[in-house]
Amino acid sequence: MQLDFTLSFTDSQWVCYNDALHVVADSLDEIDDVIKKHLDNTYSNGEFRIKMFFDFDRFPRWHRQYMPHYFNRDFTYKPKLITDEHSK
Amino acid sequence: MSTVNKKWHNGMLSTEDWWSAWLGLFFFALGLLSIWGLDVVGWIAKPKIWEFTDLMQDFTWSKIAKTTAKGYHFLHPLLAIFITYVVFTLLTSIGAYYQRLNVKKYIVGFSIIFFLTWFAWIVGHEAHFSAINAVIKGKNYHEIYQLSWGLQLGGGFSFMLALLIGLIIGNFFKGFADTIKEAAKPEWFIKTAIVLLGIKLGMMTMKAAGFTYELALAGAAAAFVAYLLFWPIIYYIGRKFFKLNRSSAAVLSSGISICGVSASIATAGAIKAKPIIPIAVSTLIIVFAMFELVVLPPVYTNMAPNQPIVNGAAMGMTVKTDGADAAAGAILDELMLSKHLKKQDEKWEEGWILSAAILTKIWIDVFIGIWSFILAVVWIRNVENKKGKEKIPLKEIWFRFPKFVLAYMLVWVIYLAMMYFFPDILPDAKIGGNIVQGTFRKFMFMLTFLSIGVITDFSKLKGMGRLILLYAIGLFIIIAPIAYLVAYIFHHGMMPPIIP
Repeated sequence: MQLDFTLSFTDSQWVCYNDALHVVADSLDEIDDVIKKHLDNTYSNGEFRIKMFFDFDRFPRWHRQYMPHYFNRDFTYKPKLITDEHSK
Repeated sequence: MSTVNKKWHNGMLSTEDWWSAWLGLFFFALGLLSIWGLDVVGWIAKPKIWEFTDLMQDFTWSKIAKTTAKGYHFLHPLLAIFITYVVFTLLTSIGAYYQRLNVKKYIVGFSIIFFLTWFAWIVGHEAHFSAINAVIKGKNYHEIYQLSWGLQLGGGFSFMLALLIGLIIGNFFKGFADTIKEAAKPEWFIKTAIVLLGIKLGMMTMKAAGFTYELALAGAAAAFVAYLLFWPIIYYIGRKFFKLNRSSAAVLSSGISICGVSASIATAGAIKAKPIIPIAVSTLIIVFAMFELVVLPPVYTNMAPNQPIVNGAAMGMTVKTDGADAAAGAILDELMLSKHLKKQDEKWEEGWILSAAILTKIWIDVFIGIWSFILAVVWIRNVENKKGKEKIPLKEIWFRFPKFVLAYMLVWVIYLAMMYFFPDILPDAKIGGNIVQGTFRKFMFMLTFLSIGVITDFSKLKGMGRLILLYAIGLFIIIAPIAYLVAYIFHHGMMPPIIP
């Protein structure tokens, strides 16, 4: 299953969102962790392909003419089965 | 709503880069209609050399402007300027609409920029500034107007004046600058002009195929120097002596060494640096490019007046944004041609020095996608230790490829194809081609100069002390001398053709 996100930023933080999730964090690793945790809590099996597409509109308008292409991100994740024991 | 790249064709209607290609190819196609005897480009107005006292004694518009083609000379010069205004405003506004700019603000801004540009273009052609004391196309304006003094800068003065007007607006009338900034798009204008320079490259190939191919191949060497020599040196200095973190050092290295703003963003994207880093570095690059644009052309002209192509290529390796590089190349072209004409009474063909500056820069531009891809892989494997956990799609190289270069190459290839397969139609093709790569291209350059000035705000450098010092050292002590040496090795002795 594929989950698409839009990747954006504020002055100092990354922002990653889709219709179901909105994550703000200092680093991309932290964003990944939140998404993984969300998948762990929501799904018990399967493999997920997570794609983050960079939102060019977040660049200042004067800057956009210089091709503000950030790399899109693409990784896969298999949720861990959360049991009561794990939760504890 | 956000703008993202998901498919290979994303951005074809919404990015400025693609719009440079579309606009340039559209003008090119219009020029080609002369093959069938249709001149649909000759209406464009261009300034004439005029003299102040003479104009005041007997003012007529026809003394300062005219249509480019004789077939349209029946048009009043003001009407020709108005038609030029309508056509350029209409076409660029369509681009602005698809790029999701505020079209109303764009039209207001473009209108002001258009007329300020024309003001600079006309004033810049006043004989005391532009006329060279030599016979050009059978006329010596210095003698015709009996000038007692003259700067003899050719078309270079118009460029400098447009830049000065833009800088005054950008730095002293910031409210006004904000009003017109929506239309101040130097990269769009210059990339469109570069596409039109593909025609010039085609015509150069007809005259001197070996020269052009050599120029193109030597440009490839420049790309290796930028990526494999400049980048590691600047990165090392940034890390070792300026204690920058890895991300900042890498983004700055790409900005200084490769192709300025777009390289710094591509690198930041590849290594996942926070976007605030390339935005800060970009400000630095744009302001420094302004210094390079003003300082380097006169320095090179006076330092090596007999090495025109070396100077052009060195410019292409040293000046870091496409806009500033092409602009600096254009000033260098004008200054060197004027100086040579004054000293040797021999006129080099215009555009060859500029083409050397642009071809060198384009070679550097085209590899940025591959370079950032390599950086992304290195970062994931060696810095973040995430080998195998995150994929880097090859498609990212395509997203970063400068599309206006495709249009530039396409125009060149079409001219080569005509040269080899349909030589009979070339004379007719050149009628429209010369107008498009002449007046159309020069006007886009003029728009670029004014726009660069408008978006350059020197006060933005406040608080960037350490980065400014590293940038200055990197540029003037490391990059400029090495670039000149490399340009000299590959190009020394190469000369533009002489116009009889």
